[in-house]
Amino acid sequence: MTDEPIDPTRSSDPTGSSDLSGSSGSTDGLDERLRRGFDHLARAAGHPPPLPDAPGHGLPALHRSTPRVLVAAAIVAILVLTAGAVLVATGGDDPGEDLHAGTGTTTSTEPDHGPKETPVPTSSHLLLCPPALLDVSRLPVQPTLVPDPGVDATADSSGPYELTWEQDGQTVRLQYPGMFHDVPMTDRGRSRSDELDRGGMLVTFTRGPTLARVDDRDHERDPDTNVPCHEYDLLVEGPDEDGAAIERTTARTIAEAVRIVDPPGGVTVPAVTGMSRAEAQDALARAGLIPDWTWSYVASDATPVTVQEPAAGTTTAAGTVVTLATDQPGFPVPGTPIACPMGRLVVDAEMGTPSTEEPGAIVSWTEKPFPAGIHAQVSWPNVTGGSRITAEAEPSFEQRNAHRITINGRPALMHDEDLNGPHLVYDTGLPGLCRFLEVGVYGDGATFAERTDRAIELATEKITILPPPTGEPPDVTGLPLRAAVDRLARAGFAPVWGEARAINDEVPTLLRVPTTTVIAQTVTEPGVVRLET
Amino acid sequence: MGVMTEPAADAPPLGWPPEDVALYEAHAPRLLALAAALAGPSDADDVVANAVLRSFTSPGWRTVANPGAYLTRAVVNEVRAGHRSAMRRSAREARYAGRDETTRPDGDPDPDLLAALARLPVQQRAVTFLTYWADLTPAGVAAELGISEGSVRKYLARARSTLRKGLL
Repeated sequence: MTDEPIDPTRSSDPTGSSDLSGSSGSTDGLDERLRRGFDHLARAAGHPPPLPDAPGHGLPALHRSTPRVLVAAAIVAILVLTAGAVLVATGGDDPGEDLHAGTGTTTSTEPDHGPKETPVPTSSHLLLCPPALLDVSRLPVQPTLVPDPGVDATADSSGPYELTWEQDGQTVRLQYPGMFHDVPMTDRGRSRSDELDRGGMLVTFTRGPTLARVDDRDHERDPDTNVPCHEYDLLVEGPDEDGAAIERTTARTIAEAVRIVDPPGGVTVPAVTGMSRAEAQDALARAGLIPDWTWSYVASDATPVTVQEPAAGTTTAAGTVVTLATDQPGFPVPGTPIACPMGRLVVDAEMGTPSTEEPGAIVSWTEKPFPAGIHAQVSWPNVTGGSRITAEAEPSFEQRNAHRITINGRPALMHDEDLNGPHLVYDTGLPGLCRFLEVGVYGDGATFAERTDRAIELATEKITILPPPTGEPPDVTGLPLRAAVDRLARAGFAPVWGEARAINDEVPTLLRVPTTTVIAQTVTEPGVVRLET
Repeated sequence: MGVMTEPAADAPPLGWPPEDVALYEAHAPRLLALAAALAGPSDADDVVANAVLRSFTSPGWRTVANPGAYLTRAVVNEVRAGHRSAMRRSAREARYAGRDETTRPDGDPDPDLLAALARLPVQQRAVTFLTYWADLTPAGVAAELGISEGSVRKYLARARSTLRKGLL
């Protein structure tokens, strides 16, 4: 460590910063605090490591100026900072701890209004998660329960519910479970941005002590926290419409008070097979169990449950996850339902291992880093966020920095989503949902031209779509449409069911595929099957 | 478990062209400072080492027009590509192990500021760092990160707004 400046070329009088700040200089001292803060971090990092040996010239010889134990402590500290003061000032798990709204402090005085029971929605609002997991006993006010405004509270629909209250002149909305659960990845991004654009703060919680963080649009989510019922969303809205008066401390103190807990005791798993999915979820949640389901690209609360695990009658701990499957009897539940003939998509081994971790992406590959920091992903059907390709014969592209190119005689469109990297949308020539395939090149470790070249290289040299099968397609009449689509796609056929083709609506459209039964199927061209419902 | 062997103090790295070695020596201090700002001081050296290795071994490295800016972006990408996940995982494990969460590196004089900085998106943090620590103009920041000058202004304005809300 050293206290000497790291970069001797750095001037003490920066140029070009004051015009960026929105004010001429910083009257609140922010500019100087930033400089001092960065100086501190630079000094704390110590001396640069020696350049490692090149590959093939021995083991990398990373210099560590800090003992391992201190490194570990520093990692913890940085994480704590990343998570924010939300965690730092929690004041422990004192059950008598009360909440001082808006001050960011807590006191240990006995609450004068007693513990708050988590409100339980009436039977008209079917539950997704057991209220017993959400501990609001330390809130200073009694929340009001309202159905999620985006969900109709009917007998065959379910969804999150909200607790709302006024605190410190601000409206607090706590949605449980978090709105991002069971929402396609593409929708997550949009919703998250919307929240933040209103000036709100998003706090996600997981089961366990003090695992909370203030989220924003650029933060990643820990995959292991994406568990049903283990998180809620907290939105604090200021009195003005643009949210300019949001107080971080209010969200902080609420975040300290509300916990996801393990409910005590054991429960008997109820029998839910035969129920609608929504009814099954509600029954499990009211029993203190967490309903989960095999992911389906056609979400319908009315689809009957055919499989549950653990079985009915099993005695288990409250808070146990019960997995539900909602397909037709005798028809296997696909691990990852597909809508396009993925078996005909051949991707060079260089592209890596197929991933099915992101349901919104249907199927994707993540390329090995190329070059520094760049990753490529192939998605089919594509899940482009922000690009707009119409269903016209000659696709139009409504993005700045868009490039219209041709690959293998078919149109392709390339655009640059600012820092996220170029997206190449390739017309496969297939009708319907599978018309476009996307190659995304992410990261900004190379110029736009380099990334563009790489995307084109991938599309032209690394990705091949095989000819359609010559045989007859499987008979899918009588199956629910979503099962029919999946079965045809797995057999190498492209299913079409008359949905308008608009890429931005692709995933939501897929999610809205009706569960009506297929009554007829027609091969309209080689490899393409039109379904009538 | 491997054995970490400290190299001789003056041992030159093996296998790199002299121009790469010189380039690294010229840029390593600021890259390390940038990595510290983005990922924290304790992991900064690993971030820099990985970013430099990726850059020097990438197929297009010899054709990069501005190697210094390329390395800057490589550091930013190294952080964005998953470094934060590893950091969070480490901290989560450490937290469950009962370690002291409130430990701060080196007697940090401004924990609120560093906490607020850590909550910024990486790109905003990078722009803020290059503006206030490296003293680059908006055009300079734009060239360094390979983004437009307008994006620089946008990111910096958002960062400052967020920091003000979090600090005041």
